[in-house]
Amino acid sequence: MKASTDTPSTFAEIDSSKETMQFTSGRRTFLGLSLQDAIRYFFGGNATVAIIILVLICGFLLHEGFGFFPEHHRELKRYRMAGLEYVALIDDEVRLHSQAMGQLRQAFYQEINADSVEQQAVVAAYGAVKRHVASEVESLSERVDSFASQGEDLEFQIDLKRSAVDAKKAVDEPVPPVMEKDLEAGENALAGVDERITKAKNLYINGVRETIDRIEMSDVEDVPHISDSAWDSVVRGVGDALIDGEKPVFIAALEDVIEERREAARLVHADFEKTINDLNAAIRPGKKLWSELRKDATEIKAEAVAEATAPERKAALIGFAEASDDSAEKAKRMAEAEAVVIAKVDYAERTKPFYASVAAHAEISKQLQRDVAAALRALPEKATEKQADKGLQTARQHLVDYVPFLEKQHQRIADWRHDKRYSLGRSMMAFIVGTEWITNSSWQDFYGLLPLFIGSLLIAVVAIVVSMPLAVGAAIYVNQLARRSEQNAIKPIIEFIGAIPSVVLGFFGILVLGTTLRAVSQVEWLSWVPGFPMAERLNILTAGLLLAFMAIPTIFTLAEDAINNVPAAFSEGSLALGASKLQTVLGVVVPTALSGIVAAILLGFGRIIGETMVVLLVAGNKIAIPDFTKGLGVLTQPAHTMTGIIAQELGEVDAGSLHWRALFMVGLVLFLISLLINFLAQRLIKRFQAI
Amino acid sequence: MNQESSDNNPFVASTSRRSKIDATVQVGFCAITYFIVLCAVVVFADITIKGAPVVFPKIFGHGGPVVNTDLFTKDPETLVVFEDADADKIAMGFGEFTEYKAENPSAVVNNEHTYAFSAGGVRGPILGTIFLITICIVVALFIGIATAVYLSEYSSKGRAVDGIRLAILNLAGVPSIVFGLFGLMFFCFFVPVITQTPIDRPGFEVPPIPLPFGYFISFQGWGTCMLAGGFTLAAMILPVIITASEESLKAVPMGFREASLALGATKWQTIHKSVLPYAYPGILTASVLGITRVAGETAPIMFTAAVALRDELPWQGLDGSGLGAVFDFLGQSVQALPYHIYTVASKIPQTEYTEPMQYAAVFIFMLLVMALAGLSVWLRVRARAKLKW
Repeated sequence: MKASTDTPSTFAEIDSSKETMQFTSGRRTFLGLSLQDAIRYFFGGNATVAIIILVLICGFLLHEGFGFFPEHHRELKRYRMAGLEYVALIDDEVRLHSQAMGQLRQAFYQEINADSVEQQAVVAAYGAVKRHVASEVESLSERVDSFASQGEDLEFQIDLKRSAVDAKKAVDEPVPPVMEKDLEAGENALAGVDERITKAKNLYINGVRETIDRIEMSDVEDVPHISDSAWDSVVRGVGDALIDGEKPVFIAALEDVIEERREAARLVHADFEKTINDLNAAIRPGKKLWSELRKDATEIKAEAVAEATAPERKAALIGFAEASDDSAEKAKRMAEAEAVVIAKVDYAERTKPFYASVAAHAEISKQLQRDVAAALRALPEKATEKQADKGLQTARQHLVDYVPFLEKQHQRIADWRHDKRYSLGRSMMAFIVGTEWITNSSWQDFYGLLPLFIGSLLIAVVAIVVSMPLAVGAAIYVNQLARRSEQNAIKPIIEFIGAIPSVVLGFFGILVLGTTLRAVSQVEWLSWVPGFPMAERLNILTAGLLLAFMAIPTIFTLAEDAINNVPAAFSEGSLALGASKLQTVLGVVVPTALSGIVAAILLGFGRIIGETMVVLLVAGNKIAIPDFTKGLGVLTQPAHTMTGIIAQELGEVDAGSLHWRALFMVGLVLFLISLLINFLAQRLIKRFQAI
Repeated sequence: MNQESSDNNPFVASTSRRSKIDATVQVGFCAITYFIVLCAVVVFADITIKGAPVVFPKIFGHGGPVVNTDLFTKDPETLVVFEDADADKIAMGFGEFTEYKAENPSAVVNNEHTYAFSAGGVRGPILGTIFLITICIVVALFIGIATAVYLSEYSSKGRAVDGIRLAILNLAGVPSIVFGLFGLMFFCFFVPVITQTPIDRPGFEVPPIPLPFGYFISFQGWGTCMLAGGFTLAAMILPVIITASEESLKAVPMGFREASLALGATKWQTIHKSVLPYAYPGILTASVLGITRVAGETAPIMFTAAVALRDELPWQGLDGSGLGAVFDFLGQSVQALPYHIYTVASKIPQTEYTEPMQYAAVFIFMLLVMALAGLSVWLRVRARAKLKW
């Protein structure tokens, strides 16, 4: 780009000066165009293709995007008119309640189990190992079963035959020789079956033994940590149990101990349990109200949808009728079209149950508030077990917040009007800062960008934080510090990374990186790292690391260019003043090239945020805003991205539907982000060139 | 050199300490660089170690042919894994399995599992990728070189040229999935075609324009087909090719042009005879490198060209003859290697039975991409040897 300004202009000057020359006599013209002009316009026309493509991208995205907003607005308006919004308000109350209940229950069971944690760990380990071994030898046990059942069948048949022979003998009838022979053959076959059963049993026993011999704690999933001696006895116990079919004695004894201690603890915490049960009962009337109204709301929505689509259906049927040649068919279609009634939904009438329920809700809400307050008084202040106490305090806090929430929520419910204005701006905000992306729901679809945007952003931030020091460091080393031969070897290798297709990297991420990272995260002495051990193999961190690897060549090449373009006089001057090589590099060269390096990082960021295949394969594809309360542990959660959602869902939705348009809106947002990043990077590069 | 002067240089604190820090930091930079190289080697080695033995079984001591030709002559197939009477695990493709059952009706088949796309070969995907790349190269080189010629030989400074350059720059940063959306809306749903039976497609609803003889110009696009995929990829790679071509054209010395013009050649003759021939090697080198990137792209062809499975090869079952057959050929959806890898990586569980085929597909894909990269290096070497001024 840099050299582009001076050379062509000279050539163009030659070109224009040629116009005045005298050699132009033999020109043929067509439509006022000489051949030379036509060629010129042909090339010029091709040059505009880039502009045309950019304009078309804009046009298509905007066309679909602008189609999205009015339809989305209508959809959300219907959500209010049909009373779904009202029901969702009650749903919030129920949901928050059950959240607190879940925490309380968990705390309660932790408290109950506190005395028998070790025993439970051993029993759980026993279960896990048994499942693991059983699945390893599953095929063997299936074979044993099938052999055994074949044998049983045969035995039964032979018994039948034998009793038939005996019966015949008893009535002194001669037994037909065929039957005797049959019996003999059958008994031979039975002996063969016996042999096979023994063989199969040996196979099975050997399989179990082999598996038991090589099993390690790390092989088994979800195994709690227990002492080495306990582990040994668990493994041996599993072997015996699978071979003999009996539960080992020490496991049964442990189970008895656990049961006993739990019962004892249950007695101690009887009040706690009662409070939980009371609190659980307190939400029942609210739940009942919710499920009744929910039915109403769904019905109204179905009617509203029918009303909205009826004219279209009618038109389609009439169209069919007019297109068909058969008069009977025509009449039938016409009749069908006539039958489509455009029934106007009387919202005022239909939403009456909601308004009527406000009083009932007031009652329920008051009672619930009293119950929650009572539960707060009845709940123990402190739990003895540490984890349980943590859970209990969270639940208490939840309940304390819950009371004023109920108060406010009731106010919202009382204020709710089905015909309140729903502004277009609000529906736009529902897209831009909406926290839910729910599609194909029987209740209501939501298209909120935020979970996807945050997913994309988190992954991109991880990637850029990892790749920036690596790529820039490598650029500094290769350009300034490395020997010539090193330079020539390293540069092609890093550039080669750029040629690795992203889908291949995604594949590598699933098969190798994700598994390795999870295995590393389960190492015990790394458990202080936030988010470790990882629950999911595919998550933000895995995707971020892979994208960092992908972005390295982009950032490296551009940053190296920027460093390379720093005039030699700068570093020569620095060296002449007595600075060391490193001081020169870090104090003079890099600061001079800084805006170029920042532009390189920005362009790398653009590449990362627009990358599709890696995130689609490796990010875990869970559409939810990650839980930021876990600090840096947020990075080990799965997420979904803007690029990933388009790639995943566009192929499956109807063209032209609201969902389809929502995906194009996401595309538009991506496009705008890429333009913004490009714009910023160009500004920086211009500043760099001005030096 | 600076250490010597440290005695009378007030800016250097302590030579030995200074140089120690210098050395440490330098080692740090070195470590960073070699860490990146190590990562690249790990990725490459993993794919080679697990993929190469499947593609070249004999070389890696697994017996069988030197090159596993099945991979290149068969299409993806379902893999059936079962146990026979002796509890031995047997894995075979679905076709083979059907034959096996027909030949041995009494054979014991226990514990049967099936894995999609895990047997056979990747002939369809390889061919599809080659067709897509070919279309992409033809289109992108044509438009890209023409644009570069305009920018470097014809244009003078002005708004239009600034606009073109800005568009090229911005186009280079557009995410690939957005190109996918664009390709879907434009090439699949909008591009005008001449047909007797116009179809309605979503997007801009432009009514068909009637022509004589019952034909229409219908804005219905090409549908999901390799032509649409190739054009989408071409649109995506255009900025790279334009930039590369322009630089190659700039590298041709001004004297060539001046001499040609001075001898009375027209502008077009000059470009045609004394500029382009010397720029072609550079253009090709850079373009092939750019196309390497596009060959690996999956997102733009997901909706525009690719399908997971096809029974027929692209040239089988064509309608019509002559030109009609050509259009019918181009108007088909194809399997493509990157899309195939995406499908197997995301939809099929990774087990010891599915991994060999998956790694083989990835390895072949990497070979293909590297062959393109190697081609560009070879072109560069040849061009340097041949052209010197």
